[in-house]
Amino acid sequence: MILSASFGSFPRPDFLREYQIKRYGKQKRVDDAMREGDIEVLKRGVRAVVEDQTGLDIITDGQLIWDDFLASVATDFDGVEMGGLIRFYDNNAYYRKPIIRGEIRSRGGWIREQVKILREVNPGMAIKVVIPGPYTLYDLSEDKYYKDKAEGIAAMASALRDEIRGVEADYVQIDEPSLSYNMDKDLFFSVKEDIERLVVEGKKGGRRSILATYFGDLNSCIDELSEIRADYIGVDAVSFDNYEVLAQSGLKNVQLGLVDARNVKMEEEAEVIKRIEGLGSNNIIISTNCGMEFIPREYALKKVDLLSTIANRMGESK
Amino acid sequence: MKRILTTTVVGSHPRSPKVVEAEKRLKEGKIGEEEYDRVVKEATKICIDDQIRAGIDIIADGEQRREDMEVFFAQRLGGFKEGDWVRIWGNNYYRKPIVTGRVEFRGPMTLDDWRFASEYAGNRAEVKQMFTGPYTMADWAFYEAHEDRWDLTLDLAEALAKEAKALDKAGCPYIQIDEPALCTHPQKEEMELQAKALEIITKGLKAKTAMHVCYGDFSLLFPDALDFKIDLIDLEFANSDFRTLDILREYDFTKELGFGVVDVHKREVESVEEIKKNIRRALEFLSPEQVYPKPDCGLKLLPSEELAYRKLKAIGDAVKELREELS
Ligand SMILES: [Zn+2]
Repeated sequence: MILSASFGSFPRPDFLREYQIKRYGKQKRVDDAMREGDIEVLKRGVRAVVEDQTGLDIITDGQLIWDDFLASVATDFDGVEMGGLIRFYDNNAYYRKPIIRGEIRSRGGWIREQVKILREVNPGMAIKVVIPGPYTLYDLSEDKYYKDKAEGIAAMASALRDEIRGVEADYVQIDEPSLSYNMDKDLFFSVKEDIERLVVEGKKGGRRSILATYFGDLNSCIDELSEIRADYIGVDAVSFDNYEVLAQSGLKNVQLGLVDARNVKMEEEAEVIKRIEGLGSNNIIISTNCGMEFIPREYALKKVDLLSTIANRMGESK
Repeated sequence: MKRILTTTVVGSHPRSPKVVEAEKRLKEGKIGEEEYDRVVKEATKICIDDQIRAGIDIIADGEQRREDMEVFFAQRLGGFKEGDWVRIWGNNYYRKPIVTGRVEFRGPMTLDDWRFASEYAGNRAEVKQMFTGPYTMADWAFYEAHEDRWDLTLDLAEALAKEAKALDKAGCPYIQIDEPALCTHPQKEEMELQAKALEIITKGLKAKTAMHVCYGDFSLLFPDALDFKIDLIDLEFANSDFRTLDILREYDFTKELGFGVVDVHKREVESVEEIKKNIRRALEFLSPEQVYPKPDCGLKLLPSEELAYRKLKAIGDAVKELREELS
């Protein structure tokens, strides 16, 4: 089956952007604040992005209240506080650096709440929940507590397992851009089991797990990624020559990012189809290479259409 | 005798609240271009006087007209259109421009401001001019007509070469190309792209040329940047604890170096002693003629003009003492 999926983040509806700026100012954290009083506004926002994703087989809640990708879970952890702004890989976007000051523990539940809202707003569709992976979350944090990196990553992985335990999603996506952006192979092998256990937790209850990489060079990590037993490995096939590397690797279960969510230029439908077929696999989710928040809504909608058209076309020809 | 430890700035000053207000009124149609221009010029004079009082040798106009270093040029070059909101962090958004056709130079964008600053400064200081470089302009915009980011970067370089030429022809002695995005992509080939772009821009100029880069992985820059067709490389040092010195030390550094000695993200003013100590670290392997002490980056984000002045004054004072000690 060739399925189409939203990657994760989605441009915020105008009303929500304006509401958040007006209500919280430009600097204040939205995640905490929205948690308290504005569930109805949030639901309206989720409803709007669900509609924007019409045509896709797998949708998300658009991460509408995420301050940034790390804060989404890090603010739900004991032992972690949020520090200053740091560039998000090679994007003109920034995140707040989590600082680990004590034992990491999930207070559990915020991710679960968000999935509930998405379910309630849209009862029929297959939904995906996204969390940052432990390797990445740790890589982008500052550790002032654990004795070494492996121990810190293990603690992150364990807290993340608590975050997704029993969450009623159809797909659990664990984002690990750092694995492709700057993998330290020794460190990877010393924490591989912790990552695996999180992936296994993601599969529980009939869910399917996706370990998603992006922004990095697949050459540097393809062998290691192939060893992880996730249902799908997410590959950014826009950056670098990653498509070629992927095609040669023999990796078959892929969430394939052939559509660029960092530029507005539209991909050629026929070209994308040719590349999907070139992998010779029937177990592919097609998506953008990363979250769609980097492009304006007008273009996100066009890319949604493209993905859905391609999946339909490939379905018909079967 | 050649000047030693020439002090300079990166370019921007905190935007005067009067300019921000006037810009708002201009957009609302409450005042005209002429009135806005008058307010900008008054604010520019203050920037210039402050820099000179602080002891800066090569000054800038303070970029009072630029709300955003990408958008300012995108609004003035052909081929760009205004984009929709894209989030940067928290609840901060900007309208990321979209390049919809070949880039077109419509006329000088910074020349009038340089002329004004240069005339106002008179013989009190030399005035440089800076503009956002092609690499950053391309990286911070969307594009739909160009083949890829390389194509766009080189197209922009052709257009911006005309800006450089106009400044050069008018007698601007220092032209600076700002490239904050340069060290954000890890691919090594990016430096080949920038080498080509700079060659296009600086070809045939009489002015001295500089490239400013900040907050990235500077190990990506070298050794390639040593062969870039520019005279001076201007980097941020203070914000990254002067670790970049260890990178530079490994090479035969033959260009001039813009040396960031105050951190523009910190509100405390660095002490004269601390600045002197850090300049001496650079002098361990560079000559005093080569080293240009200056702030890490533009002063735009500092909360007040007064703090900007105090940071510059600390540099001016430190260099004055060092010059005496070295002579
Ligand atoms: Zn800078």
